[in-house]
Amino acid sequence: MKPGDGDPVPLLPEEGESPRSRFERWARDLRRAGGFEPGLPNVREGTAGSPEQGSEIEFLLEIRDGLIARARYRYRGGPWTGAACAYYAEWLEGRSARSDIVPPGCAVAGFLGYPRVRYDEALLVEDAIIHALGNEDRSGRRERGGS
Amino acid sequence: MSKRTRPIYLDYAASTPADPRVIVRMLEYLGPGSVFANPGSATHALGRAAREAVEAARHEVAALIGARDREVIFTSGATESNNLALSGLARARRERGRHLVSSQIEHSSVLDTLRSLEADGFEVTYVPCDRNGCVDPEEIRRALRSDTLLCSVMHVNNETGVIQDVASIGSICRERGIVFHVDAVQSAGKLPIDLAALPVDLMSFSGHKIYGPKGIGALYLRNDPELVLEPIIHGGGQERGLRAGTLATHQIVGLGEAFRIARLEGATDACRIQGMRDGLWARLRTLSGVELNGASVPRVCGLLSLTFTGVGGESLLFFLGDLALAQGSACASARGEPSHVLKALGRSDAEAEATLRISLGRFTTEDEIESAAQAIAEAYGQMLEVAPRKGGRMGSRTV
Repeated sequence: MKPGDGDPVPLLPEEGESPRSRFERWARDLRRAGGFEPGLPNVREGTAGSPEQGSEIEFLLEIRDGLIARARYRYRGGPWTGAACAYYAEWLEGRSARSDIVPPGCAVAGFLGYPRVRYDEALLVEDAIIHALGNEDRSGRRERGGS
Repeated sequence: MSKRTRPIYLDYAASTPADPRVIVRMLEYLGPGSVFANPGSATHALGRAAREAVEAARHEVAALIGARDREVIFTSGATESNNLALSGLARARRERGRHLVSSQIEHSSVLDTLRSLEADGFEVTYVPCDRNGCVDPEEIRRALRSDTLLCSVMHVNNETGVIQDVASIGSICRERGIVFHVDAVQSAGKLPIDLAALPVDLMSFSGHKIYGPKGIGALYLRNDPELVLEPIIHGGGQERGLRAGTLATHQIVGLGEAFRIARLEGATDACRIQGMRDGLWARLRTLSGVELNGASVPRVCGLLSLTFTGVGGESLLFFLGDLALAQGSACASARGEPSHVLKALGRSDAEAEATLRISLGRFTTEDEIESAAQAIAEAYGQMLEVAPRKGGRMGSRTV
């Protein structure tokens, strides 16, 4: 169980790293990069960004019983985009499928030690997740609930 | 790729290490017990020895480029050489005209100097290049005017490695009596340069792009007839009054040694480096989505400008941490503008961002190229794998 569901912006443990090390660890973490198996039900998808903006994100959330069972993503952009995707994906799994508990991109960017000019990359990832949580699943049904 | 203690260095176009032979020579002119004296001190033997070393180095520079010794002026580097050539010539001849011609793909040390001259009342025409990065000499001809003072076109582009037809451009300028400047930073030691035959009046060189030290460069100044430049640094009258400041003997000796080695070994080096570059491209061209900029035109031996379509260049660089190479977009800030050179070639912002410059040099090994090819293929494959499947604009806030 992840603690603090519903509390203001509970972030993942720091593990005693410098911000740079933390950023690099998440930027290299591609465990949840990619998609789900084809035809999987109860998957919500959200996108953000564009080639002109320099970053594009697809976030995929598998919802079961009002909880985010698994999170996956695809991205094109800098390592800051990738790190935010990886961080959010880990954070989201096991939490309620509610957009109001998603940590703001600024908080994640600060936690990962981004330079100010890179904060927008975490904001775009947040956007993709919020869009996913607000979308119907790919079969056209909207998962009801919240535990 | 296994973790190396040092990255594989593939950024020779940005800077080369000093050749060990250069370092040995420099040390003879630096410390106590060496010939460290001021080469301007003609009153004692150490000063005269330092002067002799400076003149010997000047001879080596001149010998590589087919110039006379007195046509070589030492500067702090190519940026200063470009500034002195452009600003010095334009200001010395401002009564004769106010128009200058250059290309859109010059180095910033040329473009920024031209912008400074524009702010001072000069007018500059920037000639475009084609999709291969070539400047058409006929475009230059059309840009020349009766009041044109000077034309400046680089020999080899620092981002694409494309070789410009400076012989034809120089001939056009000479027909019109217009001074022709060439930034030869990326070509010296890699391509033959014979200024006895080439219609070029001013040419800029750098030490640290030719296995010499940083902080030293040279400007070739044609002496037939002698061109007059207005100095940009004033002081003790060194370098025939064109570049004041105590001559940095050890730097100059290092530059001379680097040019001497290039004269003796440059052709052999170029052949070997080109072989490795072609081998690397042969490996990478099999990857779908990788495009070589300037593929169908002559390019300098050690440089590949590659656009990795469909991925982010910064992420690719991040996952290639064991390689020291450059992103095609030369960003001055953390999130700078896309490369003006790649944009001039018709690349989009996204393509320019996804362009890497791989430059090989004298100390590159076949083993390094093999490792680099493998690492690039793996990283690009990985980035493509995680890239979004859908194209087009996605909903998002404005940031």
